[in-house]
Amino acid sequence: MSKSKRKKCCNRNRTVAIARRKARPKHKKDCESVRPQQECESVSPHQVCETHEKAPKKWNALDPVQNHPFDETVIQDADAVLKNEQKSIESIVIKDSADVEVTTTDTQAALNVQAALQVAVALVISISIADSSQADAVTQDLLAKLKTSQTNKQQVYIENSRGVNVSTTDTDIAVNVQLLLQVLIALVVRLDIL
Amino acid sequence: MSNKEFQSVDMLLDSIFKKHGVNLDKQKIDAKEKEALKGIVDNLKKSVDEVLQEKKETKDS
Repeated sequence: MSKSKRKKCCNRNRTVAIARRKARPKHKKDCESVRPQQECESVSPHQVCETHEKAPKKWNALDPVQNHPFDETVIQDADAVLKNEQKSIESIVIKDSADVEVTTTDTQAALNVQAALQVAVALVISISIADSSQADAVTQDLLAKLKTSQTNKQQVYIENSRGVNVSTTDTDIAVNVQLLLQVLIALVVRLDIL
Repeated sequence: MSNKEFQSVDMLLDSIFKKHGVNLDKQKIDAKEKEALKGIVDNLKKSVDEVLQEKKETKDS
């Protein structure tokens, strides 16, 4: 084969390849590229990328709208109904000191009592309302009203000291145990139990 | 617990029951269940008192 003929042949192959590429839909081409996510974003919003429509959307840490995959509370609305917030913020600073002993105790004591009270409220409602779905709705609505927030802050600052013993105790008492007890008593009074 | 606090709790319960169109049915609970519930409430009262007592002691010490 002569030189000119070979060149012509190659050109023909190239022309066919270009024609095929042009014939392909743009979004399909983009999806097959090395950086599919970015390429698909460049496609107009009316065009649908077939490959990415089928594939699950990858979580992007830089997207402020996307929830973290482990952040299940966002999906589970039922769990988010009852919000009892307890925070303990403790800060200890020891500066230019020697032989300093710090002992801290942080106890969230009332959580068991709180859970028991919630169960008792749910129990009373469920056995005194015939329709179970209505009983569930009432319980959920009632407990949703009992939102409490409690924050304890402790700050210890020791500077230029020697032979110091510091002992702190931070007991988070859920303030709503009293409130839950009130609700429970009000319910049982209505049922002539107390 | 003061009467004012109980009044607001009562109103809260009234409004929730009204919203859902339900009433507590006294007849649904028999004497045995009533006794059991009374026991549960008494125990919980004690637990709450203990928790509050612990809190008071912690504050004092």
